[in-house]
Amino acid sequence: MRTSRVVMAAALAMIWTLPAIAQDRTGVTDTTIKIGIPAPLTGPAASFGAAAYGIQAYYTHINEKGGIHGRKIEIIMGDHACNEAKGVAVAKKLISQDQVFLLNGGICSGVALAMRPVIEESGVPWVVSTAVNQKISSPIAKNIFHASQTSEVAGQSFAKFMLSKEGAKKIGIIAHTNEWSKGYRDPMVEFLKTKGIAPTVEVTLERGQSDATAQVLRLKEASVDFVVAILYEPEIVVFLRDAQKLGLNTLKYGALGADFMNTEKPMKGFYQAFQYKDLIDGPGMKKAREMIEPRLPPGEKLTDFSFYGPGSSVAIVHVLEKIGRDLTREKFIAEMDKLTNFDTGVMAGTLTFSPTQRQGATQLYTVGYDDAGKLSVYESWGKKVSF
Amino acid sequence: MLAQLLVSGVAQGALYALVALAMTVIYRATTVINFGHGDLVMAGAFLVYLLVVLAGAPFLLSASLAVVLLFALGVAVYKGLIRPIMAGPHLALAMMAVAVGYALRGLARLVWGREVLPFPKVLPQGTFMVGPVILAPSDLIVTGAVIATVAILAVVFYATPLGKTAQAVFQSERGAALVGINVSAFQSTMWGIGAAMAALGGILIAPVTLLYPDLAAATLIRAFAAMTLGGFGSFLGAAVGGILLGLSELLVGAYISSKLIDITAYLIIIGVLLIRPSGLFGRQTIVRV
Amino acid sequence: MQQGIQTADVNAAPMTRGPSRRIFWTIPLALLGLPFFLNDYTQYVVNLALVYVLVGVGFNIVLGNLGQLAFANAAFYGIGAYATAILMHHYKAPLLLAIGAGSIAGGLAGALVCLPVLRGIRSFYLAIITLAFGELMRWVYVNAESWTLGSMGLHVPRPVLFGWVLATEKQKFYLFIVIVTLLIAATANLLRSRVGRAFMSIRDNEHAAASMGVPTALYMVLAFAWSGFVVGTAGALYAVLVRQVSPEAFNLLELIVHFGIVIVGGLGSIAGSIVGAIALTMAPELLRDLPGYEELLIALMMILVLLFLRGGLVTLLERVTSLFRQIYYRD
Repeated sequence: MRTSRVVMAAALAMIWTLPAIAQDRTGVTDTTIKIGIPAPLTGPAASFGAAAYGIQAYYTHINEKGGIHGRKIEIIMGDHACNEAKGVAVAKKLISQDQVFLLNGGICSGVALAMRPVIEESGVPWVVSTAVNQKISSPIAKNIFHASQTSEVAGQSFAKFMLSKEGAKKIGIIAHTNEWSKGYRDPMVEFLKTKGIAPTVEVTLERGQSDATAQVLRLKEASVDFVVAILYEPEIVVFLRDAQKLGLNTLKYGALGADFMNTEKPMKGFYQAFQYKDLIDGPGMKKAREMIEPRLPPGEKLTDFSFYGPGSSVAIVHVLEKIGRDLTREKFIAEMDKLTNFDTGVMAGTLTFSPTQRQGATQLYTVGYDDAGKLSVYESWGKKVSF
Repeated sequence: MLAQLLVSGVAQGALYALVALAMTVIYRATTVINFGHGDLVMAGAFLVYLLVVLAGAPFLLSASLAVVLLFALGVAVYKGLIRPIMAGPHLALAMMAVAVGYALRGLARLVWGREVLPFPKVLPQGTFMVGPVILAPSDLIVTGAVIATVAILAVVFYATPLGKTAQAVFQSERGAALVGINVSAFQSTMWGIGAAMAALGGILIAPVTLLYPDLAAATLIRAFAAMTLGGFGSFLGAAVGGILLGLSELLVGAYISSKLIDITAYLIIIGVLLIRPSGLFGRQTIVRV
Repeated sequence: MQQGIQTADVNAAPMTRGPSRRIFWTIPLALLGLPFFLNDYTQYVVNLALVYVLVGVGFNIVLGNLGQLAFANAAFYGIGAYATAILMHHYKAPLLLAIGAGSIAGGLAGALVCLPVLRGIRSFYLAIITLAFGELMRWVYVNAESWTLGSMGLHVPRPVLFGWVLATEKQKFYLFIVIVTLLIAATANLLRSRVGRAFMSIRDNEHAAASMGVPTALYMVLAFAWSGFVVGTAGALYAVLVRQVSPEAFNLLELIVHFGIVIVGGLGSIAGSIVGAIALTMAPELLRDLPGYEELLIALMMILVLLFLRGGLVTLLERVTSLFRQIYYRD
């Protein structure tokens, strides 16, 4: 009798302490928190790696301020060159070999999709910083938080902006055939459908093509109100050049992915999706700029894209501070799920997460030149964002 | 619209023709097809960017310097890397060309990898109308450059002693050497010229798009298509092939589907090589067993 | 005139049987213990290296042994990967069937690519037309959306072998090592046989071979089909390993990696393909601290090998141990 009571007591004690034992503290030591950043630092998409350096700069800033509850952030970069096989290698390395506490990155959507099963199965928390494909975080995974605006949000946002102009009804589309472009095009077209509008004409401009004459002529023929250009930077340049040359004078809307500083300016009538609070050199971004710009690695220039990752990092640091010294992965996930209307100070809109809402960024702005020729950030047609 | 497409197609095709002509020069001189030529084009453009934007040099000077530097690079590549293995299998030559191109691309990515750079605007901007057709000065310059190049090359290769040398070397290197021709010097020079022409191509192409290390890939395949269509070894063929390719791409894109623009070049290559391998103006060079 | 691909030792190794065959089999057996020393990440890299071993072995058949400038390797790789991925994603096909489909698709593609060869297209022209074919296939991957899901890429569900889920890299390793060993053995047998010697006679002098009664056309189709079969299998294993198949993975940059494996490792040599695959798979992982140097290093390795070590790295290894010359077939 006595023995069995002892056994029962022991069992109860074990069950009681089990949750504590089950708490995962991998990647946390007395003095450090390891954060892994998978990113394309080399290869054909290396220009997008600027986001990773932005994240790194922000964490450096936090470390300089003393870290988080006495712990410094140890950053481990994982370069995958936008290649899926390498992406899986990087994910596995960061998880199994470097044993990071959490992952903060994800820039190339294709690679993020390839990494998802590996990361999901491992249970390591992953805050997606930049990639836009909504399949990365949908269906919901216990440990994945999508902190950047998805292409679904973006596509709808393009449509909303264009429709917010009085009388805009005919839309033309010029896009790549790749997954990136479709990720914007499909939700946009879906949204337009709910308003009873179908795109008047759609043309394709592939990556690497240096001439858009045929496409511009087709768009011109269709006399649309707005042309949406879902293109990467080099191809937007090609399109705008040929549009100007051939007299395609409709309003134009460009998707994310184009560094505004590089495209021809000032371009009246050209609007672009904008994922930040304010212009890079505007008052709304001053704080972020001061934190990040001086801390970029030597030789790394500040570009538009440098800010396209750190928004998620601000949220992460906020959550880590809220948790306190006793830091575990489970607590991180639970606390992230409580984030409501959190202003990152970098990204447009706010972040809200919950166990059923893991795509936390739902707002996108638009940037364009106003009537006075000044570059401005808009919430909708004619309505500028205020601070 | 058709007129505009035709005119723009010719201008676009002229760009392909330039690269194809450069590759034809190298082919005529050494029977090697330089699989790394696209990267030479990219290197030329990057060099000019370096000189204009970072060193602040005036454009014409930078362009000339880039052309000269690339000439030297072409000679160096030939002397150091191609000539030593000329006697070996074609595969090794093709691989060497690929490796050189890859090295140039790796170097470019190392130095400039993170940025997509805007090329300095040097050609006069603005457009003008000729009848129903809109033209940009760059269209005329590129097309003019191609015509001039073809003319010069034709004259040189058919009407000068240099041309006779070229023919002799092409037909038989040993024979040419036996007759006292300095085959090595001739071939190095031709590689230099081919590389210099690549630089010219880069300078004309880069303002049209932005600069990035992978600029080369699309260019190379289109140059192949131009050479295939026109017939390997023929300058006129390279020019005509390039222009026809440019026209096809635009016409297919406008009238059939813009999705097909990309594969126009591939289909031309496959079709021509299977049906009429010598192309429009080429010589019979296919081995038959 | 096409000269023979040079290898470091012109005197070919004598055909060996018995002891060396047994040594051949000990290597994979010894490797069976490998997983116990590796973590999930390093095991993944080893698995990827195995995939590239097949890529190299397959490519070498056409490039090194048959001596044709057929640059369609990335296409065979992609066709195999997509065939497998499509069957597993859309039709929930059993694993071995899906892999087999990838191999067969690769083999058929190989035979198809042999068409221009049969029509007499050689050398650089063959190179160009096969390059065009590869790029054309990428366009197909992007546009055949109902099957390939376009550029988004196909997600491959977890591989299940006879009810046993291959969830870890360790488990995949065992499957891979069996397949790779079998294919290498078969290739070695093929190359050792009369057929293999016919390949090389075609490479060294096609006209002479034909005039001696070698049915060159038949053997060329065979070589291409087998090459496609092996590389298609590599693609199938890639799909199972990475579980995300997208068009960009099979572009010209990927083809250059294939070139690197074969040239740096050793043209015409199975051992060379293995050495090259290991070198080129490990390189990016070892160079993690020096981002951006990978391309340059591979290019430099290729240039150096082409200039000074035509037979590839495997010739260096041969000097160390003559074992290498005997075990795996090379000419």
